[in-house]
Amino acid sequence: MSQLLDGVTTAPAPIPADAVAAPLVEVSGLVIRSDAGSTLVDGVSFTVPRGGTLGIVGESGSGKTLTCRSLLGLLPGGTHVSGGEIRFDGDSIAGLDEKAWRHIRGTRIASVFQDPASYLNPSLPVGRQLAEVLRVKTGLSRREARERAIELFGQVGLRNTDRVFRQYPHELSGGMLQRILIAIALAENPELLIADEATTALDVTVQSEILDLLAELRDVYGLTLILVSHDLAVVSQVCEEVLVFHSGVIVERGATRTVLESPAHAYTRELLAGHEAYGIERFLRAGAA
Amino acid sequence: MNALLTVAALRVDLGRHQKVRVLDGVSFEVGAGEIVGLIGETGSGKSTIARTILGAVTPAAGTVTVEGTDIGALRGRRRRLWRRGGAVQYIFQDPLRSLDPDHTIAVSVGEGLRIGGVRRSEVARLVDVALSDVGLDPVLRGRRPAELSGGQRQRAAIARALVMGPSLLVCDEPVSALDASSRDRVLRTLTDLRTTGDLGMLVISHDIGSLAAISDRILVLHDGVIVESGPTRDLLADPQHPYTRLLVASVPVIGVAGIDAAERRRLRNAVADATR
Repeated sequence: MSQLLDGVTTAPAPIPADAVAAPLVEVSGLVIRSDAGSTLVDGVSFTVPRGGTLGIVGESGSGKTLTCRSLLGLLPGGTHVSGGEIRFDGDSIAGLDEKAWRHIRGTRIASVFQDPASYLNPSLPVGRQLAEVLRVKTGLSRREARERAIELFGQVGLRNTDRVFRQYPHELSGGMLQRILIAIALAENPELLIADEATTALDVTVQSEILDLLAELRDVYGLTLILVSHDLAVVSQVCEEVLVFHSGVIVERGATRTVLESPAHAYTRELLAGHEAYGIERFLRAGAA
Repeated sequence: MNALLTVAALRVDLGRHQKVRVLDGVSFEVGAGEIVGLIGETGSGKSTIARTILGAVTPAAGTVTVEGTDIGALRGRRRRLWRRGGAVQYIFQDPLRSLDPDHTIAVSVGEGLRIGGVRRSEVARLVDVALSDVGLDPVLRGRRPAELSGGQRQRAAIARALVMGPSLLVCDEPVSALDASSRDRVLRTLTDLRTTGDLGMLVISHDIGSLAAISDRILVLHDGVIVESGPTRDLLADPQHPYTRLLVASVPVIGVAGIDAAERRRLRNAVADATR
């Protein structure tokens, strides 16, 4: 963009809303420290284009979750952003107050996490919980909210949506609960969805259903995705770009394919070797040969 | 091959008022010196198989035979004696279930022998042998479970099982609660045990990768039925049943042409239709 404008002497025209070059998420030099003074995330920079899919891989304590939580304004107590810049759709969001966050978190940036049951009220039917979000946040009537909720349940691949609407969390499987959390996340047509270990606790066939659903949401609705996982293989199913976190810094980044085929950092190579030992690739290769 | 464990036409119904069929016509064998992997997802009935072999669940039909003994037919004193004989030993997901938090590792590992009346000096010797078989540093024998890592605890639980000189180990999710490096050590411990004797193993897990790494054969359990079984390599490279194909197609892979989402959707529908 800046190159295009170089040498232009007239006043710059307003940037069109669908400007291709403007990233939806722009994190530069992000530093997160604990109040005790230790540095947890040390100078992390990345961008996610609108409609892009970014994977973030790393072990627990690598800073991947803290980085995502700073994008949601939800850093845990005792930690704070102490440097750098976080921009969402061009606006700085790192220093927003709680009131301003309410117009972004859940509305423009949505999120799903590992344990879906813990984000739902066990004593309310799941349909009512989604309808409540729709009524409070988008001002739909009771009846409209119910119709929209059932439509959203269909969009995330739930069957018998009328029945699911009336069911309680304990009556549903982990995979169904995660779909409901995704439906709630989508309630306000967010631009960005952050999925942090969202498939980790699920059975492998259910995990693949959720990953296929996320890819579909990107393809059909143009949703921008940040997918966080300890498992490089999970991220590679969906994401075009990948960041590898280790000890609070990004040790490797690039197109997922390139990183997997020619990993530059020793830690990435270690992850790949671990996957080779317990993956099923060698059997699949034997089958193809 | 002489079967160590024979499970024949096992049917299990659970539930007090409304009986739900949990296992339906399950049959398989585990031979001496063989590692058989049993893969199943949540609700497939895999833990019920383990509990039935343990004798904690009474089957509605079918038999479980260990080295020629039909364990379902044993009653009273004969049943107690057979249990104490320790021919079948169990490894659980959480080793704290088999290790007393107040006892040292050496005391916990030797407990079964002491109850069986083995002399004190002999107990100490056998405990040391078992600990070295699982690769635990002798320094750790005086520690309590809380002072060990998850992987060390699981290896201590394996030592506690081995010290009884079992012919069959039943391991239910032995590595699911462990981090990557501990999982590595525990799986290697299990494969090493196989090479040193005629010990047979039934390893139950939801994780196809861990099973593939150690099993000679794999059984696929879905909705209480074994839908497919075969040598590990054949089963993974060329799965036949739609559920097995879906399972293999769902495992995230790197660097090999995976199955695309459309094919997975087709398989999901095929599996849903078959179980309806």
